[in-house]
Amino acid sequence: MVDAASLILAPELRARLRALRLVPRQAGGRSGIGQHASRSRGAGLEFAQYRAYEPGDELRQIDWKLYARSDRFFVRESERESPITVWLLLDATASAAQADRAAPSRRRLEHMGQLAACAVQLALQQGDRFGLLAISGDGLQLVPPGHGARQRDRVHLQLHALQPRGGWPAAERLRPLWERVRPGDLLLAIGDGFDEACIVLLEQLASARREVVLLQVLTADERDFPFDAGHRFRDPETGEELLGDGAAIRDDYLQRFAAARAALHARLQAGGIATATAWLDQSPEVALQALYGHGGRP
Amino acid sequence: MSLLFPLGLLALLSALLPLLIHLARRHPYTPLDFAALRWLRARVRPRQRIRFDDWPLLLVRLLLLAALAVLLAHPALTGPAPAAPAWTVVAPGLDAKALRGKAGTTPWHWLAPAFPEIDQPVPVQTATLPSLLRELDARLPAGTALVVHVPDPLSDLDGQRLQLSRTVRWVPHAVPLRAATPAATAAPVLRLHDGATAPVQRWAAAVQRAWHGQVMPPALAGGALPGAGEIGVWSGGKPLPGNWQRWLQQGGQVLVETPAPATAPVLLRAEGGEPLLQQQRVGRGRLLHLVGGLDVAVNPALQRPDLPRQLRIALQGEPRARVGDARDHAPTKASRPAARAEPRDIGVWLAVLVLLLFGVERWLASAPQRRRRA
Repeated sequence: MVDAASLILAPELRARLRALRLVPRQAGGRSGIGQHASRSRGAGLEFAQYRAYEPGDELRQIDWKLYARSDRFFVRESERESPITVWLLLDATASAAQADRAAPSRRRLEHMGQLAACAVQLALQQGDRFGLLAISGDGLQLVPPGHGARQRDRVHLQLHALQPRGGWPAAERLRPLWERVRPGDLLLAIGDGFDEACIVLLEQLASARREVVLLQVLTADERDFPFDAGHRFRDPETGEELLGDGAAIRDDYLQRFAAARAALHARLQAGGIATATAWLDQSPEVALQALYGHGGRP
Repeated sequence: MSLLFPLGLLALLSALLPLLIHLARRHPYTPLDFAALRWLRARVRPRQRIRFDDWPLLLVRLLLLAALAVLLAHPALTGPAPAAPAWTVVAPGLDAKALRGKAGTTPWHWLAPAFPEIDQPVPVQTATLPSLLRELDARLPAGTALVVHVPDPLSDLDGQRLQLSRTVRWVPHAVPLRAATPAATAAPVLRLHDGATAPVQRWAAAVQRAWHGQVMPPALAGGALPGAGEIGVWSGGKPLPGNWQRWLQQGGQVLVETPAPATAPVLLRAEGGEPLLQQQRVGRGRLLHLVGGLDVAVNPALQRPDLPRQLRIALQGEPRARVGDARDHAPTKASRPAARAEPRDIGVWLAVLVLLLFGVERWLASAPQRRRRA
């Protein structure tokens, strides 16, 4: 259950988000007027090209100044901007319940919820449609895409009811996802990225022309491993336990973990999946900044 | 510092108990959710480090047990006691309060049995002054100064000059000697039997006068017996009558002129060295034989001018000098074996320490932060 307070974005966070834009790498091709580049040309604000007049074109589309210079009819074409659909895919398996020892109240799930709220805010700013896909041990919980503030409230409600539970579900149970997420949609996966099945799913989605981005949410404990004494480490999803002396296994762990992250990054990059890491002890917009900062494309 | 019951130190072994309990605790490893478990490799099991949490509490508990063990071992201080304030004793008969005046806060004591303080009434003197001083010397811890106030003509002296283990400040105070002490034992009284010859009567009267300066009591009439403490004189070779024999048996003294058995001890010898007075024990009394007879004409040894004194010394022993100048009798210091200081028990202080430690232990054990951790 995500704390309601973490879904309400602080004003300064909201202000910082205003500078960000969710931009898909591939231009979408949907109908309607939005803020995203589409492959359909036509009337619009952004100039795209001139083309020779063809019978049937509207007379008002002819560039009369160009006609005066060249004595030919040219039609001025603009890019049509269209809205996209942003899907938020949350990995709410049991590992999402992990928290830093320094801040036990802020679990991974809270951070994921806040990231989702940020993304919802961005989509709302851009007038995009957005929907929610929450995956836990119970299966897939889905909020169909929609517009506007009421849709945001629906998403928040679903986030609020989210409970971290179980492991990654079998592929059959995720079939509705394939029916809902259409090619060209932006799918923002938010999770720890530790489940192999999750990565495989993202790769499949990416290769099926979905715009996939992974926000890997990691705890500071996983990054720093600040354990000195003996501990009984437990994998929340498999229940596997391991007795280890923190100080003795730290170096080995940090090395292996860094290597695993590098390998994952390389793999995702090869699969055409943009990725950024959100640490639990950082503000959520830092990761979004890394993905969508500098006014543009990842 | 010594231990009266060193076996009690075995209780120190109990200090192992909290140590063992502390070290043998199972360190509870609370399960810790860690999703990145697959990158952990625990080839090293957690080391069981010897770790002392709560070491102040542990220390206090160990100290508490150690203090209890030492308490069981009955420690006692044997070293020289801290120098006690000087003792001042005043012989009874002196005005102690006047002597003390206003000065001095240390208690003054009577030189009397049990050495009461001078605020109490003057005790009845039952022991002699030198004896009391020796007792006090033996009782006081070594190094305690001793001031003794004595009257100046010092009476009740014994034969030897006092020797004490410490130097004594000897303060004589001139005091007029009281009426002649009756200490000098009364000289014996000779009682003649009825029918003594005139020379014998004359000699006896002369001796009596020399002893007492008084006239001799009249001779015993008939078969009367001499009184208690008197020496009956039975002259002539006749044996003692029956009632005199019985009186002699019951502790009387009779002077006779019959020769004594050779084994009888000689009390007095004549100038030539031959025995003059011999003594024979009869029952509880004694039979005195005057060798050579009681007639002065017959026995020239009786004509010695110092005979009365010699005779008296022979009969009663040398009168001792019992009164003397106090300054002459100041005690001398002799290296006597120092009084063994009694071991002083410090159990009470240890018990207080134990209680204190217990209090600290309880306070530490129930400290709020510890309770919170539990």
